[in-house]
Amino acid sequence: MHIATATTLLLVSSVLSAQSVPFPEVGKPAPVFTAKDQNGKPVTVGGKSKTWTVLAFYPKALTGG
Amino acid sequence: MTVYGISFDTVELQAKFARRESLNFRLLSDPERIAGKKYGATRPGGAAYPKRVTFIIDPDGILRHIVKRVQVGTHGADVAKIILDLREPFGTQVSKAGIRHSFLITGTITAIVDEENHIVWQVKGRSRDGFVLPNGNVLVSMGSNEVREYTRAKKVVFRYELSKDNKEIGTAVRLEGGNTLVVERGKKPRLLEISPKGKVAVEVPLQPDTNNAHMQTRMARKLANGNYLVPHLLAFAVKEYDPSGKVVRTLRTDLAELGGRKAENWPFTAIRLPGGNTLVNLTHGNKIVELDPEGRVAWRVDNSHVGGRFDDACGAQRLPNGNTVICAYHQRQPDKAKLFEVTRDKQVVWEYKNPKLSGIHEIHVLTTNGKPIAGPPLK
Repeated sequence: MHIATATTLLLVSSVLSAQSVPFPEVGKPAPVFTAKDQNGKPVTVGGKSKTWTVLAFYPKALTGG
Repeated sequence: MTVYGISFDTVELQAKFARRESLNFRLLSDPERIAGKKYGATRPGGAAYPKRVTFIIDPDGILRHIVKRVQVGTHGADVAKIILDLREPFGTQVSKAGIRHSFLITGTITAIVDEENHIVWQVKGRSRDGFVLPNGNVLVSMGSNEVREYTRAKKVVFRYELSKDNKEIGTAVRLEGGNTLVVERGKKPRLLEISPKGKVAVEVPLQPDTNNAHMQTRMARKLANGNYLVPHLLAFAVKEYDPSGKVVRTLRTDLAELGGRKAENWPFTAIRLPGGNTLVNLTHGNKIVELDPEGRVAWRVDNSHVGGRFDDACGAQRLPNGNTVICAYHQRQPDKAKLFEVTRDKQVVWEYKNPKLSGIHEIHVLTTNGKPIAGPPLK
């Protein structure tokens, strides 16, 4: 029973994982959003820009990278 | 490029993080996971933190690359390399021999192109003469009136402005002792050495035999013996001046065997080679010659040897292997070489083509197949 529950949980979690939001498609316009920077100033990412944009998601502040 | 770090943390926490790490990029706060969802960076089950993933977006707003396995320690350099590889190449290098160069070009643009044909450094504006210095800075004569030394971060660390008496600046060379050799054209054609602090340290009046300022001189150089070698276009001569301004030698370019005056063999370069010959590109004459110390033609290449590739021969550089890279300043045909390289026996072994570019005035070849060009450039 315990094993069955664990297996079910594993299955559910892998299904959940498979159903997590996919990455946007390379070669298509990048999603546009506006967020505040560390000074509270709004920044829009996506759309035309003078330069290349690098958007690096990282897990948590004060964890490096 | 613009770099943003982004997490689900608050603005306040991001501010603390940025201060503690002295970050040189901005941190975005996405507590509502708006960006996280749009970019598929959320973790299943509503986790409090996103995946570690980096997106690279080009200037048109197109997502070009996703880095899914981020190596924290080398991420900055890795991303910079990815962007370089993603960029449209700026022209192509054609060589059956497998030659690849990186080079500084001056002219209608002022840029360094790497061996993969990507622009790796560029400043706005037209330029005439130019060198990448041993410390990596770039010395160029910009427009008609200024010599500038730029760092790779494009900060100007040396500047000389044309004197009011004159009309154009051509030559810009950093000399061994730290002075900068500059030539001014106009009412008072003169060669100057400018000290690092911007003061005139040496002044030598020139004898271009014309009042047509633009046609008085091109790329003057200082010789190991302390003299100056100056090509004078409408004088049909390269003149060697001693530091007092006396002409001690004249090498003529209107020789009968080169087609006389009507061939318009206006000298553009005056490159003294080891062994004593002088390498002279002849603009409208569409040829390059080596003149021996007595002024006789010791070597020549013209359009009969290179399938018509000469088209206003401006800058040139002799490479350590004896090959010569030549600029075709006037070449406007999209499929024709803007730069080409000939061997001692006049074979074309390398070409640079770029339909988007014409008007390469001078060249400084920096590397060949990954190796820096040894010694001071012969250009």
